Amino acid sequence: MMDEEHAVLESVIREFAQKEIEPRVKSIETSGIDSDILKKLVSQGFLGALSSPEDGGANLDDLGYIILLRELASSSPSVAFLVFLENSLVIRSLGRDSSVREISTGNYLGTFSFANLVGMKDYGSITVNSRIKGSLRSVFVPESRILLMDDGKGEIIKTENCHRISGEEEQLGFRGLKFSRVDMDCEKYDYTGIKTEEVMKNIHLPVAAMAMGIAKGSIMKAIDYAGQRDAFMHKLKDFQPIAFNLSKAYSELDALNLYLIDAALQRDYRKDLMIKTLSLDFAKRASKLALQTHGGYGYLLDFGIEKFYRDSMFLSVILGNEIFDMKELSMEIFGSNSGYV
Amino acid sequence: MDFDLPEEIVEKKKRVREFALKHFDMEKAKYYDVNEKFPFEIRKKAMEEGIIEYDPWALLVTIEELFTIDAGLGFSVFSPFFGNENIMLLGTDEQKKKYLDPVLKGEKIMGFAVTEPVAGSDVAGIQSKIEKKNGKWILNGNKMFITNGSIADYLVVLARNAPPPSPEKRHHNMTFSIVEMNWKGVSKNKLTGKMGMRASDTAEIIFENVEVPEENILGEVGKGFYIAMQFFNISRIYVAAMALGIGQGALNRLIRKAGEDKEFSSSEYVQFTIAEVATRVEAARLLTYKAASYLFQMNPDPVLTSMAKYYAAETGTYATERALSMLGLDGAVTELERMFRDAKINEIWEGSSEIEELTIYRMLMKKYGGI
Repeated sequence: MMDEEHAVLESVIREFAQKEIEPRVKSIETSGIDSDILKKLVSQGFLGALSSPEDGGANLDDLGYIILLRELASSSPSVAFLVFLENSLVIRSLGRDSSVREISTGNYLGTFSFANLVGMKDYGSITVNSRIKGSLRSVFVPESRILLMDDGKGEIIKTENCHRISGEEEQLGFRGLKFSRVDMDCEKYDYTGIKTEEVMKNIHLPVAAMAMGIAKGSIMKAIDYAGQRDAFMHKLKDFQPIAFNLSKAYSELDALNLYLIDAALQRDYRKDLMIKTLSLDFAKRASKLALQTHGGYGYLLDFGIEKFYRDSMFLSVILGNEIFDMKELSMEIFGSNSGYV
Repeated sequence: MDFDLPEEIVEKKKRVREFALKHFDMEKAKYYDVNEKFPFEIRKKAMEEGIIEYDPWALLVTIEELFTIDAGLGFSVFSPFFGNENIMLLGTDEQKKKYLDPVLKGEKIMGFAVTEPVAGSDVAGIQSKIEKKNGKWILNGNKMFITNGSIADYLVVLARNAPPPSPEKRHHNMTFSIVEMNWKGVSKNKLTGKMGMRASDTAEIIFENVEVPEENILGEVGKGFYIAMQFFNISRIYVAAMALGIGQGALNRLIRKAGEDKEFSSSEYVQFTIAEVATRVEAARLLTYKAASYLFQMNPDPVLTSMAKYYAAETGTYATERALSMLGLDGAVTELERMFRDAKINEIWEGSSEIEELTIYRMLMKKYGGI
């Protein structure tokens, strides 16, 4: 169960999302996350949610961070993904590096590449010798000053102002953020002293939180719409297929949220994987149901539903994929390699 | 029972595929998708190369094949004819000569305007009015999500010619007319920001005291609802073919990857997913072709038609979702992401999946309810 402190935090974040993010969701999708939103994220300590107050962060614990990502994603998955990127991937990879403060206070941003990781060959590769050379694919926020990546041996290296955007990529989701290929040829780089494994094992729960936020945003909008829209001389909610499906989805949302909170309190790798698998699947189904409930209007950007449909799918493939996740989960469940025949 | 298509239709499929592979390059598809522009150049090439034939089976397999490669570009090939069946079936000789012939020759573009801001699936809920005043028909109202709305030369428009006689008979007193888009009182607003099918043109249309000549009334006055339902019995077959094409396209990309990447194809999870998607696509094809065979013999079966549209639409969406899930990033940064966005509309337009389920139930009860 959530204690009072976290209940207050949830209420504060929800109010922030409603007031500062919700009115701008369309412009975020079309023009990106602007500097004003960044400033507001900084002023709340959200950009450095996992860093200390001395570094300008909010120093949230696991549950607080999960609540933050979920509530932001229920309004704008792009904003939630930026916070996730800067915290779960960048700040966690930087350790005690001085740039943590710069990122938390919004002076500049960092990004992280999945290149060189096992099972992530589609993200490109780099070679690390006296120089770093290579081409990376699918880098979010490529305009960032800092770029972090695995050195091919499980250690994280940091480069600064040392990559060049070489082309944009098809971008199914998180359109509030730029998404590009980049080329690297750097003389200077530093080891952060953090192992990639340490970072990667902690991303499952935050991903689950964003998925649950997408599901929440979808279902709540659909329930609201079904109570307002008339068809066949009744509200949509008066028709059983609509009412039953949304009610069932709402129940699933509630149950998975409890599991998410429990996982955040317990921090068990197996639980993290389980809630991630379930919530990604649910986010895809929930956003599909919400879009369907809205009919043609759901297909339009203006109604704020279609982004959930795109983003849930994108989230499920952009940080690994279903096959990779299922192998990991099966290994946890069976206690040894499984599904390898 | 012969499940093989006639030789000339198989040949047609092959020719359409060659056309699509030649002209539908993915950079072009991306350009029209990103910029939300209608690809007139593709339509022109299709007309020049005789891709559109009015044989119903040829049209069905043409749509299926075009959508296998790209839905947005494929749609542009035949969407300019959207709604022509109404003039073909109900039009006077003069209407056919004036409005149908130029469309079939590729000189003009038409559309079909039924949906309104307050009435989508609920066709009987439309509020546009066409009323006779001083011997003239006057059209007023708003239409929404109208395909070709901002590029069409004329639309076939459904409106109320009188209030419904009772709440139970809301489908009475509706009438179709052919409205030229350059007439006084017609305005259009192109809709942008669609999730998918962005190369297709969609608009909101406003009719403000538009004078419609008597000779532009299409079919019997007051019977418009029935005409619309008759049209949906035709159009839904073609929507099923669109969805089927997208499903097949997603499957093709999975199979291609499995053929190229041994690590990928060594996963049983991938193998079983491909098997499942392939089975669903084939089932959707059989249902679509069966429904089509009844329709093309002038004996449409609304149950089969709705089953085909419902199942093929769900299959198209499912196949793209599974293909993306299996291919991961390798799919998400390719044209597969566009297919995923394009596929979903087939569960919504020309009768949502829920409307198809309702139709299936009602028609089944009508047919077998007395057992």
